[in-house]
Parts: sequence; C-alpha cells; structure tokens
Amino acid sequence: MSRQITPFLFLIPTFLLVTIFVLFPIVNTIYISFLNQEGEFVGLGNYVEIFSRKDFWNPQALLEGKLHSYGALIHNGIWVLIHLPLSLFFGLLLAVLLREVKGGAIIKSIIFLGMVIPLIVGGILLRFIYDDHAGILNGFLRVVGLESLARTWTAFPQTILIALIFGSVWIWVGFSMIVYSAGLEGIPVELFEAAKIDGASRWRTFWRITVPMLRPATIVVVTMTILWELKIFDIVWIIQRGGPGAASNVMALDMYMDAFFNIPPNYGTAAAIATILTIFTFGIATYMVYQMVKS
Amino acid sequence: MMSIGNRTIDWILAILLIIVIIVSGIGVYYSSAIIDKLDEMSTTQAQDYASLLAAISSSSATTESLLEALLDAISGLNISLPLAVIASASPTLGDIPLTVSFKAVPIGGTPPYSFEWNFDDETATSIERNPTHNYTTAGTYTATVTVTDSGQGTALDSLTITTTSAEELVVFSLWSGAEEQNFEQVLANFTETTGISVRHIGYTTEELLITVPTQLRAGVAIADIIMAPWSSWILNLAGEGYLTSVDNLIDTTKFPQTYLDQVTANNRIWATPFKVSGKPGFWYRESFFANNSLTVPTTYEEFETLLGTIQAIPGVEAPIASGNGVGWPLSDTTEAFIIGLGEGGYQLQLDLIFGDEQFNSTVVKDVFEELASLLQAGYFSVPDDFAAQVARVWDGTYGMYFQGSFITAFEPFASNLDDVGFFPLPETTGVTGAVDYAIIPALTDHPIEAGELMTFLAGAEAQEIMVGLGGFLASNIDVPDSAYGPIDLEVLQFMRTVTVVPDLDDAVGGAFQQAFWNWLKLLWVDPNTDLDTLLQTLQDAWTPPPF
Repeated sequence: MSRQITPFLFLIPTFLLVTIFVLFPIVNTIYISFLNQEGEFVGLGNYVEIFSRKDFWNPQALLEGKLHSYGALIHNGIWVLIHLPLSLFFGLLLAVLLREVKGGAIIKSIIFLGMVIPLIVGGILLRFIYDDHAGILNGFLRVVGLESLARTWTAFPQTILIALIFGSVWIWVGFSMIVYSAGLEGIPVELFEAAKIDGASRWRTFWRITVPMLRPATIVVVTMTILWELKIFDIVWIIQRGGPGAASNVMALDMYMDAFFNIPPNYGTAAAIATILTIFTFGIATYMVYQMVKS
Repeated sequence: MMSIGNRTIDWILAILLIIVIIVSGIGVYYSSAIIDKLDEMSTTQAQDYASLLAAISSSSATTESLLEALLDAISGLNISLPLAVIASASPTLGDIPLTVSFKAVPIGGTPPYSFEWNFDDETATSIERNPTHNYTTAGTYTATVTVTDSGQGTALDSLTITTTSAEELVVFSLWSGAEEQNFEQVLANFTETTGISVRHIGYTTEELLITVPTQLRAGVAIADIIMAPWSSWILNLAGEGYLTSVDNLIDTTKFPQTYLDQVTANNRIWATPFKVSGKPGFWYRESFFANNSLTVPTTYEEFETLLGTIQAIPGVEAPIASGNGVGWPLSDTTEAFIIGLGEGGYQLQLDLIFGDEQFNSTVVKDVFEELASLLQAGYFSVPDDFAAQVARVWDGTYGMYFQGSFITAFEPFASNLDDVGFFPLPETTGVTGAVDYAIIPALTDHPIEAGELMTFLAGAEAQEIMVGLGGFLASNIDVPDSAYGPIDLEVLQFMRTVTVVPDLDDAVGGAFQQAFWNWLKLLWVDPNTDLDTLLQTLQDAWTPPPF
C-alpha cells in the first residue's frame, strides 16, 4: 500500500505550488467574474455587459463589410487566422533553408533576437518601422515605386491590425524556426537516404517524410502560437492602445483597461474577459496536449 | 623551497613598506615646508602671516599634528604674532544625525584664551575650546569660533559643515528631455539647500496612471512625491485614502483658486499646483510666415483662409502638424475648438466636464463637424511623434502646430525663440490651462522630508528657477513677470486676457480619457467617421469628475 502511495507523496510539493499559484487564482478570477463593482453577485451580468460592448464584440461591422473595428474577440480570432499560418510557414521555411547553409547558426541567432527582446521594445521598433517619415518599410516601398502604399501603417484603422499581426510574425517567427530546426535534427537520416534511393524528388521527400515527421514540433508551435495570439497585449498597447478608435483592440487590452483605467476599477468585467481567455487557452492547450500524447 | 603563497605575501609586505616610506616622506616634507615658511617670516612677518594661515587652513595636508608642529616652530623662533585662530572639524560631511568634533588652535596674542563656538543651527553656543556638536537637520552650516585673549583681542575662523539626509526622496514625473533636465535642476537646488537627496524618475503616461495606483493599493509607495496633471486621478487617490493633504504645507493665497478647486475635496487640498501649461494656440516659425507673406489671423474666416494659403505652399505637407503620443495632442487641439467655436465659448468646456452638457448634443456636434471639415480638407497632418513634429514645423513641412506652452522647451524652438510665435484660435474666449500638481502618498517613508520638498516646490523660488529655464508658467503668483522669457511672458499675458478652464480629459479622467484620445485618433485619420457614434461613445464613457 505504501509503495502505491509514496509516488503521490512526492507530488505534494508541486501540487501545493500549482494549487496556490495557478489553481487558486484561476478559481478566484472566475468567482470575481460573477460580481459587480460593489462586490454583489450578478450571475452572468458581466458577461452580458462585455458582449454588449462594441469594442469587444462587433460582428455587425464585419457583416456590413467594414474594414476595421470588429471588437476585441474577433480581432484575436483574426490574429489567429493570419498569424498562425504565417508563423508556421516562415518558421519551417527558415529552418529548412538555414539547415545546411554556412553560417546558418548565426543567421538563426539573429532571427531569434525577436524573441529575446522585450515585447515593449519590439512594439516601439514596429512604430518606427511603420512610420511614414522614418520607417524602413515605407522607405522600401518608395524605392520600389510603391509610394502610394507608403503611410504610417499604425495610424489608420484599416491597416493597424494587419500591421500589428505582421509585426508579431516578425517577432515570433524565431520561436517556430528554432522548434522546427530541432525537429529537423530529430528526423532519422536513413529515411532521406531511403527516399533518395527510391528516386523520390525533393518536393515529394519534403511532403512525405519531413512534414509528417515534424508533426510533434508542429503541435508545439501551433499550441504556443495560438496561446501567444490570444494573450497578445504589449505591442498593441505600446503602438496605439487599441486605437485608433477600437480598431486594434484585443481581449487582453480590454481586460487591462477595465481593471486599471476604470474609476473605480471594474474587476468583474475584467475577470469575465480573463475567464473567456482561460476557457479558450485551456481548451486549445488540452486538445493539443492530447494530440501530442496520441502522436 | 618557498611556496608561491609565501612569495606573494613577501611582495605585498614590500609594497606596503614602500608606501609607508613615501607617506612619511610627504609628512616630513610638509612639516619642513612650514618651518621653512616660518624662517621666512622672520624677515617678512606681516605679509606672510596671513597667507601662511590661509595656506594652512586650506591645505589638505593640515592635521592636528602639523598644527602642533607649527606652534612649536613659532615658539622656537621667538616671533610675536597677532592673535589668530585656526578651526578644524571632523567630520565635515555626513548623514544626520552627525556628531562633529571641533578643535580651535589659537595662535599669537596673549594667553589665556577664551573661546565661543557658534554652530549656525540655532542651538546654543559653546565656550569649550574643543567641543562636540550634534547636527540633527540636513543642511549646510558655517560653524564659527571666536577666540579672545587676555588683552581682549579677538579673532575668528569659520568652516563649513554639510549634513545630508541618509534618506533619498524619489520623485515621479511625466517629464523627459528638456523638461526633465530643468526639473532636475530645481531638485538639485533643493538638495543643495537642505542636504536632502532627491532622485527623479521619469515615467510615461500609462506607467504613472496604472503603476502608481497599483502600488498604492498594494500598500507600497515607491515615490515620495509624484507630479501628475490629472486632477480627477489625484482626487480619486485621495478618496481612497492614499494621499496626504497639503493644506499645512503651502500658502494657499499664492495660487489662483481655480487651480486649487480642482484638487480640493472634503474641504482639504490634496495637491500643490506647480507648473501651468497654457494651451494658447498655434505655434509657428515667424520667418516662415514672413517669407511666405502670411499674416496672423484675427477672425475665424481669416484663419480658414490662412490654412488654404499654407496648404498651397510648395513643400508643405499640411498646414497644421498633429502630434501623436497617447492622444493628448489631439485632445488639446479639439478642446481649443470646443472653447473657441462652441456655443457659450469656454463655458461649453466646463459644462462638458461637469455633465451640464452632453457630448451628443447639437452644440458639440456642430464643433466636431467643423473640425471634421478641416480634417477632410487635409489641413491637419497624420498624427506622428509629438517631438518629431516640432522639427517638421521648423523645417517647413508643416506651417504650424497647436501645442502647449511647454513646446518652447523643445528643440529647435528652444534655441530659436526669437523666431517663434503663436496665435490663439481667433475670437476664442478661453484657454485650457493644464496644471501639473505635486502629491504626497500617505504611505511615504519620508513624510517630513517630502513635506519639505513639497513646500519648496510650491514656493516662488523653485518655480522661478523653472520659469528661467523656459517652457514653464508658474502657478505661484509671487513669481514676477520679469522672470519670464519674452515668449513665455507673451503666453502668460494672453492667458490673463481670457478665461482659463481645466483640461477636459484630465479633469474627467478614467475610461473617458482613453476613449477621448482613441476616438480622436480615429477622427484624425478618418474624418468621415460617424460623428454620432463617436460622440455617443464619449458620452457613454463620461463619468462625473470627483471635484
């Protein structure tokens, strides 16, 4: 009996830490999401309120064909739809290209710098990159004859969200590249040799061997990238604070505004947004872990 | 065979011995130098005596032993010298409470001697020759000893004792660049006067807005004084019990009542007005106007004509530069139009602040429609970095820039004030006067020192220093007009001709301020924004100001 119990005893310290610093805050946040500013129980009132706010949920703008301001929840969804495939694609592409290139390790290190710098710094860099007068992007557009596209991309509601997403890809691609690089190193060389002997083309080898063998790495990249996209805050805040209007608003920023800018602070609605975020992230993470275990 | 360790020790000992020899030699040199000097005195006594005493007093090599050597040398030379005294103290610099040992060495005259020490800190004098005194307040003191000989001759000597506070005050503000440098000069003046060290930390708007309340709610006050322009934010902190009232720290008669009213609640004043920033109007380069034959408008029609004229000048991207940042430059501009064009003039701004007028009312929409029409005509630039726009106005990319009076502290304006001018929105009846206040968190670890700094900042002396550095209008009415540079005086004189009203978003604060800034950013780049939606959003975000 003691031999069955002993392993669990060793888990107690970890369980205590997780309970205090993870489980309790989550449960407490969910509890607060059912309270109003006076601390009274209001049921789902906070959830109803946030979904009634156009800066959080505005699908009508999307249905009307407007080019911006769909609400934070939808903006996060757009972020996932664009940012995820781009991060996967460029991460894999760079990992494959730099695998057998002289100095590839150095180039990978430079690309990885985006992950190393603080996100606030990354946001400030993006502000300059997108600036009409001082930005390298607009300078490039002018050089190649696309001056009509030159503008301060982060100043306009039609372009700020996509500008932030592309900027985020630039910052995040280092992570996916590194994970895929590690994944590529783990593929047995014999598989490629066998494919070569059988006369498989490079493209066929890539699709039939490399990509399937990178499935565990892909699961990791997808999981972490989606979590990043749902929690994005820093670069949004530093560039335009969710503006202009509410064109770049995201859930984390909405939560932040409710908790710290409202007078008095509205912890109830902030907790409601945090709970929604938790449900999304928990669901995605659980599914992905299941996929990892299964594979 | 000697180990490596032993050899190392040998080297160390050898080096120490050499150092001792050198130091001893220096001591012998100085002693003999004084004696040689005394030999010279036998032939040029009167002239060298004073210089000898001065040299000894200022010599860093002077110690008690050297003074004793001097006395022995004098007695050995049988020289009759006038009465003098040399004062010394140890230490002369340190943190309070500082216990200082004073020594007086009388020279010449006719013994016996009597002594009187004055320590310059309003405590009792001492008649001991070598007293010990305890300084308990930070500051710079001149301790003086007076020696009297039997012939009733007197002589005195003084030395400076500097006591500092071991504590260091921390001050938060939003200032950076030239404003920060100027403010730090004022703080340095305070330190020099009181011995209390002060460290200034510049914060961004969002850092100050968010971080400070979070710290205070967590029971922590990192800053001892915080400079902030948001009266609503200040009063909300006061309402939560996080601030110390300043009624007993400042002379309230020295400030315009309108400045104090914005930070008064429950009959107590919670902040000290420090800096006033007028938002007087459109700043321009006078030579740009002269070179392009432009004239300052006196009516709104002339203003519109001016905008069209500037827009047509080759090389000009837009007549009016728009600043970015978090959105406040746009809100300043908008408020000028509310005050200048709104029905009721400055009263409309006040009504919006206190909720006596709705944002989605016709009178407000009329103002925004006029503003939108100017934006649609391309008269305003796309918002860009606030400071960078100053340079672009200077180089002619833009014709003018609506800004506060602090713009005169920014380059290239600051170095070319002779070529800088401003004009208000024509026919305006009011102007926004933003006040930067100083507050003391109730949780500060240094309430007494913070109070001293607060009193200093409220005073005319500190504010006159800032005025002299430029880009600063004093809140203290005792600062004379003569302290101002020409352009700042011009702003001040203009503000006396109109009604000064609070900054709209600073006064209301909270979520309204963020909404106001964000939606103005949208309006600026998309002038076709639905104004009904914009104004309704602002109305929904409005909450009553706490004052």
